[in-house]
Amino acid sequence: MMGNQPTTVSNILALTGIVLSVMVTLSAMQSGAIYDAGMAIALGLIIAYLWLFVVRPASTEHTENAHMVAPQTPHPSLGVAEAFLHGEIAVVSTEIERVKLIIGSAVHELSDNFQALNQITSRQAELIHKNLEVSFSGNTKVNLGAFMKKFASESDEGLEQFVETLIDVSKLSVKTAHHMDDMLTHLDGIFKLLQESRSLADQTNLLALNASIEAARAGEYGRGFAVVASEVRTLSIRSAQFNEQIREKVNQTRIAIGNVQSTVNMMGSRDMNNSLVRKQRIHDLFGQAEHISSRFQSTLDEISGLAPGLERAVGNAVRSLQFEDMSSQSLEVALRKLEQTKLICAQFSLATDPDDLLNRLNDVGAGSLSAGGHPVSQISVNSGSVELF
Amino acid sequence: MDIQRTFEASNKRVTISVRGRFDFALYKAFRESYRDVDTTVREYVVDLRHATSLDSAALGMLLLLREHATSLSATVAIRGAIPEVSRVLDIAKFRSLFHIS
Repeated sequence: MMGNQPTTVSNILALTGIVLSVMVTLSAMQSGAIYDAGMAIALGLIIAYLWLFVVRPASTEHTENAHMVAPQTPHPSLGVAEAFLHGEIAVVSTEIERVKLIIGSAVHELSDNFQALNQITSRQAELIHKNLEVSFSGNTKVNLGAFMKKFASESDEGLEQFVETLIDVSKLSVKTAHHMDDMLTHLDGIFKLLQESRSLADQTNLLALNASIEAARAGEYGRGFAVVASEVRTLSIRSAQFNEQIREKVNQTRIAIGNVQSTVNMMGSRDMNNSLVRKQRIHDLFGQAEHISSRFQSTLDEISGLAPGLERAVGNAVRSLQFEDMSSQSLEVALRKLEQTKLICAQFSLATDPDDLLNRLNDVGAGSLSAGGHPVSQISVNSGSVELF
Repeated sequence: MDIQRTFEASNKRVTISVRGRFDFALYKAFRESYRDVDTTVREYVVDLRHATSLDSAALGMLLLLREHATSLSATVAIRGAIPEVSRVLDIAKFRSLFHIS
């Protein structure tokens, strides 16, 4: 009864040590330090060993001496502890495998997305650089801003040419009006001549009349002369009729020239202020269009200027994905160390006494637990560089 | 009269003053103001101080005056145009053809 109590107490303490070590292991794993987890397990084992084989034998010494029974088989509590540790190690191993899988698939997905991002960026830059160039007059390629500038200046030239043509037409109209005036002057001359020819006809008529009177006075001798005088009179009357007809025609020509004058007037008279206002408006509009397109162009240039920075950022992000390699190596080491720990645990149930256990532990190389080499000496991923995969 | 002509024989200068609207209606009077003057004239001056507006026909008349003056080796100057008239002369690029002041 007296010896039983310390044994129970020591067993509880040993279990507590193991449980503590597992808890420390798990919490250490969560914080990412897998090596610390191995260390914690080893620490737990050492605590368990101390309690089972150093504290417990001392407290149960007199009981063992009284019964004189040498412990040939391992204590059952060791078997329990071993089974317990095996269970915990299995859980930790499964979790490590799971973490490896999660990291692996996440990294793959990240890498794919980064690659897609990179492609989108370069496509964007390509679009900005190439597709927004405009072919001008079918030969030289220019960007939008330069195109608008050329467009505006060519339109200005066209407008100037239009104004020039307008003034030229006006000049020719005025010139035509002058020619018409000259024509009218000539027509006035014709009128004067017609008037003279009319007075000649009138005088001839009068003369013929006088001649026929004189012929009548001459009686029988003047009969033949009277016929001639009558003929001359008829001719003078016809001449007067012709004269009248020509006057009429010339008058019609005057009216026609007057019509041409008014048409030429309409042709040659253009309110320049109207054209001026329109030209100014078109000029202003082109100026605005040019301003807008140049702003557009500079924005596009700025956007394409961002591309290298974006590419660099993606490159850095991809390089950061190296952590998968490093962490999976670390997890591999953790798994190997857990296997080692399992082997050590197996020795508990096989040992017959503390010395035997010590020998067995030495044989399986428990000492190497803490001396495990670090698989990846690199701590930060920033110092390396990696190609896009 | 909307068009007045003064001839300074001493410096062989003909000054043509235009009053009111300078348009097609004046084409005859304008030509008469320069056509029959002394052929020894060296300078034509078009005074536009009292011209209120200028249309394309007026520009044509000025160009015809220039042709006439060139045939006599004389020059043409335009003076005193109000801003509105001056703007029309600018759009017609007359500053490269006439001495405008």
